[in-house]
Amino acid sequence: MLRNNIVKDVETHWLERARHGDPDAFGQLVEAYQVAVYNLCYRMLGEEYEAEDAAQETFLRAYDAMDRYDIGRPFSTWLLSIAAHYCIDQIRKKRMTFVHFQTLPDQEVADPSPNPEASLSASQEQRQVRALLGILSPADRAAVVMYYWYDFSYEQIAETLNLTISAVKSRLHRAKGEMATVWDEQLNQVIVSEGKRNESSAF
Amino acid sequence: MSHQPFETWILAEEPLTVEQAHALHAHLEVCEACRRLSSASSYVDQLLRTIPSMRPATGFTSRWQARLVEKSLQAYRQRQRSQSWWFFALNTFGAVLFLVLLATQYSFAIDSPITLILSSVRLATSWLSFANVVQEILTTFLSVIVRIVPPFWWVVVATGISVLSLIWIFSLRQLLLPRRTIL
Repeated sequence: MLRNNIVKDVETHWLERARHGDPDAFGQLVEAYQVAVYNLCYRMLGEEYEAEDAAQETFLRAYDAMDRYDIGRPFSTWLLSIAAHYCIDQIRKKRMTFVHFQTLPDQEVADPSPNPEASLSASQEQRQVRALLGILSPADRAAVVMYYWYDFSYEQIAETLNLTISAVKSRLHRAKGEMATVWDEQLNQVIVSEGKRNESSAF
Repeated sequence: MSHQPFETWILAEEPLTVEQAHALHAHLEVCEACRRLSSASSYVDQLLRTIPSMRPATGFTSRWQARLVEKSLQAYRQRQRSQSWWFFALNTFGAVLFLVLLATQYSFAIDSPITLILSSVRLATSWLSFANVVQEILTTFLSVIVRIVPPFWWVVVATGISVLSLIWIFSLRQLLLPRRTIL
């Protein structure tokens, strides 16, 4: 509790200084929020280099708009709102194509874990998540990422994405249904192809 | 077979009532499609809740700071380019305006070069006589002033003019030198 208060005070101090145009203070905020912003961008865009670029651009936009930041609003919500809208625009610009489970490249996600099996499993899970998020519309994807990774409430998601609370609920419900259906279909396809392979090997 | 409201309940985030849970449980025993949806939904939910956040490569903040400097420099260059274009445009406009005025004033020269030469001589003569008059006025003024103002005040005035000149040169220098960018 005490630690949280200290962290909050320090952050408020940085925010105040950053609002007065201090780039070093904003650098501290970049250091503190880089993982949150990068993760959102990665989940939205699906590529490391695009996520890096989007995260950098998010911080630049936030730095330029610091004089318009309302200190009474949580900084994380404001920052992630900028990131989400930027990523949604990027996806719409390039009209991102859906990624199929089987067509995903194997290079994927570096994992620092020394255990190769755990690393492979983590990498597969990251690929599954990427493919599942890839089937969603940009705004649905943003809502799902905020809900699952950042524990945002419906109200916070609505505020961040400029939606109503009922729209957020409906988007999350629809997204969950779509992801579950696609996952079930993929699983079914794998079972059928495995069955055919077993039959042919038996003959 | 109808899958509603069971599909909605399977995907619901809010906890179900006891009656709803019982009804869903009974439905799942007889409906394979809903059973599969429930299983897939649970898996996806679990996957999304447990997958760790992705982290950027080390040195993210340094890269951001470098990008900020680059962006500031670009903005500065852009501003300079824009100022240069404005300066050029204003000068061109002035030159064109001057030429147009000149052309309207001396359009008769196209018809008669002799008239142009005569008017030029007349103009030069009038300028010279004007300069002569100004010189006479200034000479008279200075001779009167030298008698009235004591030497001490001449020193004061000269010093004042020197200081004002220095301030003017320093201000020009400050305004014309490129401003330092952030960081």
